[in-house]
Amino acid sequence: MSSSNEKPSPEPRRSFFTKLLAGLTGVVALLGPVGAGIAVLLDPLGRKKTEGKWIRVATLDALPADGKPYRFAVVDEAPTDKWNLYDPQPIGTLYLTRLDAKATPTAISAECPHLGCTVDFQNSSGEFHCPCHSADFDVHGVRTDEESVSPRDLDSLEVEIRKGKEIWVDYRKFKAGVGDQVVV
Amino acid sequence: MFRRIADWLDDRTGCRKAVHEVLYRRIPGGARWRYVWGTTLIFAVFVEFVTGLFLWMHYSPSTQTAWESVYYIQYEMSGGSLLRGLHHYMAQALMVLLALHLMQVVIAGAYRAPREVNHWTGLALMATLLVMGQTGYLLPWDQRGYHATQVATNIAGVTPVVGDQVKAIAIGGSEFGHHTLTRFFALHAGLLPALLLGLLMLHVAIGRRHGVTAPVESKRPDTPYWPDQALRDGIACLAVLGTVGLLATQWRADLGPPSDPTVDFNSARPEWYFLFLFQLLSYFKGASGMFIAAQLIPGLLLLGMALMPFVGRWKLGRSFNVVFLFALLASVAGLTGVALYEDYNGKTDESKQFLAHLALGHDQAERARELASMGIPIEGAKQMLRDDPKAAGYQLFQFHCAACHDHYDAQSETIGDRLLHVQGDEPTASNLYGFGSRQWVEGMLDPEKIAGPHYFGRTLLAEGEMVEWVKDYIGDVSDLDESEKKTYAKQVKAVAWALSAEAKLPYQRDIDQRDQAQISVGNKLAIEEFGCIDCHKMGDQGDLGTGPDLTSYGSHDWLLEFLKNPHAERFYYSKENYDEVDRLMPAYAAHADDPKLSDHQLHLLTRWLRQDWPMPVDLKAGE
Repeated sequence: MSSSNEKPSPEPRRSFFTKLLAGLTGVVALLGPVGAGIAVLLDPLGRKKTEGKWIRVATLDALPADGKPYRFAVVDEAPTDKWNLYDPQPIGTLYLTRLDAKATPTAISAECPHLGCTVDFQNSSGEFHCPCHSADFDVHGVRTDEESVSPRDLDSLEVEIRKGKEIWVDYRKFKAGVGDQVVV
Repeated sequence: MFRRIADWLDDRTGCRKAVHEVLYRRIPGGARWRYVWGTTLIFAVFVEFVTGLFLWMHYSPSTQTAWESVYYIQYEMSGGSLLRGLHHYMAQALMVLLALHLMQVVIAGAYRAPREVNHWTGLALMATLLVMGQTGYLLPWDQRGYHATQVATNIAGVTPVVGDQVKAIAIGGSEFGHHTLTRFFALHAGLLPALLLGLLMLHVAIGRRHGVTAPVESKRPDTPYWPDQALRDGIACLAVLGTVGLLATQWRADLGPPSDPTVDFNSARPEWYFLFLFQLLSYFKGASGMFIAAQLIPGLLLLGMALMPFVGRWKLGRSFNVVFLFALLASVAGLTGVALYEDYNGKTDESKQFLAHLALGHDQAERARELASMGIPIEGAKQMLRDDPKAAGYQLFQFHCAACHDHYDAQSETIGDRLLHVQGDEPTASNLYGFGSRQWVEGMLDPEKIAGPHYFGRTLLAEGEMVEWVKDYIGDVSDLDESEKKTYAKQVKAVAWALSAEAKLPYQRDIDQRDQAQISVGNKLAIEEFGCIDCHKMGDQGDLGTGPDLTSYGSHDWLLEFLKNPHAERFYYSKENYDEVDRLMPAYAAHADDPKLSDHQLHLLTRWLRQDWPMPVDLKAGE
């Protein structure tokens, strides 16, 4: 298909070939830069999910052994956001409960599994209450409504005692709105 | 089914006719390769719009996030380097295609009646694209863009009558800052693209109305645009994209060090398509000269091009226009060539300095990238570099130490890392490269070297007791036989290693650990055999007041205290040199309330001298 092809479609096969090629080159040329943009746009999908992070939440002295849940802030020592590395910052809240002086505390994420609002422990009722859609959970985080809006119980987190008195928690966030615990 | 949907759509929009008009418009004299340039220009603009849009999604215009977000696009995001490369190089391809298109128009006389208005919209497009190039150059907020834009806005500032106002409006105040970026970004990604799009549509619509300028001699039959000309256009666009893609992958779009007006950046140059203007400026002196070179001359040239349709009416007008354009392009090419030659010839002093600064800028950018990969503090990359022992230590050494001291690897033929390379014009003191390292201490105890230029040779201490001792005690081995000489050389080495281990240099951590046995032997020799403690304090042996304290010699604390006051009893003070203290190194913080350098600066300098700075973990492992 060079300059010899002077008259409009002298033979149909050749013209079809020219049309196909013209269409293809056009589409490839237009899609090339779009593809480069899409690759960058999809960058978040290719990134490794952040696994749980062991975080020192409190010491045993700060947690009464009365079986009641107490609220603590989860402070990340080195939070990052894209290019930035920040100074230590709170990244979430959780509840720690200690049944008695000998027991290892249990940890419950304060994020409601329904849609991610922060649940609040109410001393009067002895239950966790979600202010968004009124889901209720008992002190162990089990749903108490017969038909709860929450698809699962509150998420419990792994706890470890280090150096005899430091409470460390494997802090992670789970997908809201689904029945199974899925780490996000 | 498709036909019915198409019918429905056509009934409501008339799209068939529109598509038909585009695809089957008449090409006078048939399809030709020479008709592709207009399409490639539109294509290049399309690529700039698309890549620009995606860059926009990840760019953050503020002085603490602009460089940082571009860094992230370029080095951390998948495909980011290619995306930015396409945008960067396609902008340059646009300038080339623009010049070709312009040449074609002028040679064919395609500006003549009735195409005058289209010629002017074309010139307006050219001006818009040049301003877009200029505004885009600033957005990464690196040293190059920052300094080049300083020049550009200062040029705007010398505009008669309204200069100051124009400049203040452009940069959003009297100094560069947040609003310089937000304004330039809004211009680059909002106002100018809208203007460009409007002008382009006008240009194309008017162009369609008149059709292509057919060669007069053509006897060939007309053909529709589709598919023959479309194929040629498609191939040309692919070729442009391929070339730009190749450039983008082979030579990644540059990202200079983050902008910092307190850091010299003597290799700032505009983009190559503005180099002729940059060069022209050097021929015109003073404020009026700047106005003539940067505003009057370009303005007159643009006017000359705008008047081409009228000039072209004269008998010789068309030829005149061709000569005018080619003379213009030749001058631009000539000036660009001279500018490039003056920078890159490598022979003149100016060129050597430019190339050295270029290499320094490259190493600064590399260091910034290295630090950024470990996370940038919220204050931004500028502050990150100001707090970095490597980058800031280099600056401090240049400003405060380089008048007397060198700092370069004398063993190496080539200049490695520019951030470690300081070579003065007329140094009067020692070369501090690797201070406290084994190599450095071995040289100090070498009778051949201690009075040489890299140690005491250029200083008051050249006639001092240490030089005398090294020459007489270590240098005189005439009474030893060959094997004794070897043993003795080993002993000297052990003493040097032991002294060097006192510095606890981060880059010697492994070998200090490995050679603990030799080091303790060396320590013992230094005290018991070599008599170092006759003049120096070493741990609990020896006394202060004759030679510098060798306890923790070269360590962070030792060096820091030394910089603060080398005349202290712990260092160079002695009865002998009391009268000549002015000929010794000055103190940088002898009095806490009146320091020449702050504590922070002294720490940075100390760490720089000890090559003690953070490195990304993966890089360390790879060494």
